[in-house]
Amino acid sequence: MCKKQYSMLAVILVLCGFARGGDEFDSYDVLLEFKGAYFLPTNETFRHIYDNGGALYGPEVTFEFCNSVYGFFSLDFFQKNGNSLGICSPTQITLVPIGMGFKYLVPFCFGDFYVGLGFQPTYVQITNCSPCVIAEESTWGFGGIAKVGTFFNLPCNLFLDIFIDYSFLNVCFNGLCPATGPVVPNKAHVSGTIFGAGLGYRF
Amino acid sequence: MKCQNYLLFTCMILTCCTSLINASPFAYIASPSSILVVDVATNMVVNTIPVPGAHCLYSLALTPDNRYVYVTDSSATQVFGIDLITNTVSTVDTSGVDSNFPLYIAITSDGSAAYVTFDSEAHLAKISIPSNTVTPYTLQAPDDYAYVLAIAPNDQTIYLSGDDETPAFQVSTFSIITQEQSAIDGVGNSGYIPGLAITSDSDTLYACSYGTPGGIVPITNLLSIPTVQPTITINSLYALALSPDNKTGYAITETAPGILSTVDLSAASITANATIGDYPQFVALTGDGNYAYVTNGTTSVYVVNTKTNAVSSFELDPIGNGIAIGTTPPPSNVVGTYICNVFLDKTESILHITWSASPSSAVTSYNIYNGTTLVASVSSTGPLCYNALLVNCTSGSNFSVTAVSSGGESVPVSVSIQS
Repeated sequence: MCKKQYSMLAVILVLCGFARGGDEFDSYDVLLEFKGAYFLPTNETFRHIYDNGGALYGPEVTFEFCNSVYGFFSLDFFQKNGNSLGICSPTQITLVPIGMGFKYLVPFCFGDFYVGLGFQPTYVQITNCSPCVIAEESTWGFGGIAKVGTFFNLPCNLFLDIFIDYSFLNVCFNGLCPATGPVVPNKAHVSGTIFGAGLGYRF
Repeated sequence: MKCQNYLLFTCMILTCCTSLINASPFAYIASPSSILVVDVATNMVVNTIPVPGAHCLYSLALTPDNRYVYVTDSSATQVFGIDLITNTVSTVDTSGVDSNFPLYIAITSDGSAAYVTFDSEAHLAKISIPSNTVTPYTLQAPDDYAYVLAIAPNDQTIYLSGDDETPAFQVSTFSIITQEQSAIDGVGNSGYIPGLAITSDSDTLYACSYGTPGGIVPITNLLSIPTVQPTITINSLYALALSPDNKTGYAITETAPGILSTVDLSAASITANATIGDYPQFVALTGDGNYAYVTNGTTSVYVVNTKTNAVSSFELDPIGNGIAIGTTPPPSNVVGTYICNVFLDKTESILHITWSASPSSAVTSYNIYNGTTLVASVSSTGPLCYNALLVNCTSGSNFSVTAVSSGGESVPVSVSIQS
């Protein structure tokens, strides 16, 4: 699926969710939260360069779509400094994943257990401190995200979200310095597990 | 900036053990029983290295890395080797040579051996450096009277001339590889050839034909069919030094007063004359070719600015004979390590080159060459390392490093690849 199709699908998905609300918005369940999490990359090279993972944080909105099926939309931010493997050249990675998809909620006495699946366009920026490569490169990658977690109901319509996500994404940077044949591009594996919690308000 | 600081820190670890020993380049002058070390920046004697047992040190040669000086003592019938780092003097055992009077000495361009001519008999000796193992050779008639010598920079041939008792107008050749001898006939107007100088490409030899008329005798095509060219007339010519580009010769005459003539070798003409002390004997140029130093067996050393022809002098105690001027000492321990520098999105193939500092505080920078191409210059005050980007991990064997000072650039030291 190309980038344009992904974008169209995302827009339709979000608009659909809110459209379903429309005049009947009050009867639909909407959860808005701010999440903090630890992103643990699965790729060994990533972990070695950036000294394992780091903090990932951002807002997420979950809204009732139909019955127990909810849509979600999230925007996260991750940034970590590291050193290359070899001569320890400084490097920095920035990830801005935009998640969207569906959750299936199963109520229980303290809240709702959920599983979810979606796709996740991600903005990736890598800054490498080496005279031999382009210092800063960025690109969009299109991956996916799987979610499992629990909304714990708190007083005053607040809730606590405990979750484990897995995001999968590989991106390629093709830009190399002019006349530098010795630089070989690698596919950047930025998949990983996300452990975290969020605090939100249930409308 | 962050990147530079990081590299600085990394490389400081690799170079923290380097040391600075002295200033250079120096002129090394053979005095009767010592070696006088003169800082060519100030023309001051900055060190005197005693040579125990020496009586009349005469001809002197310096290894290309400026580490050793070898000097002959014709009256004491000895040859001495001096380690300039430790100032240790070694007496070379030349008892295996059937002659007692070492005269002139020259060192191969790779610094592995010194060759010495001996007076009164037809002998030549090789001294391995630094072991000081002596290998004697007996020269065959009619080229049986070795006097002054010059070693081709390709280290394949030694050119020898006879002294004033030699009737033949010849320059002898001695193959370092095969030890075979031959001769180039018809050189000059007398049998006395007190000076020889050879170009850096090993293809042209300039012989100093003594007498009146005498002069510089160019011998071209040494690497194919040697051809004796017409003499550039300079009467009483005694010795010759070549400029670094081999285009200019600086000739001294054994006259009173002595003359240092600047000779355009391609035009075969004298372009300037400078009056120096009586009966000059040895002439040497600084590495940049800007100054000619002349000794004449007295306490005076004459310095001629080759650009302006201005003459100055300074005094020694005691007298000065043979002279050699060091070039900028090269760096040592030049090693390279192949490294794959892995970023998340890219991998670079790098040759990480490190070296130890040149033993000269005058060194201002180090040049890194890939073949003959200058790829970088690294300050001597910074970390002594360089990361060369490679096409692949087999293309780094052609890198070399030189030291640069006001006295010129050192000989290149090839990068030794570490596995």
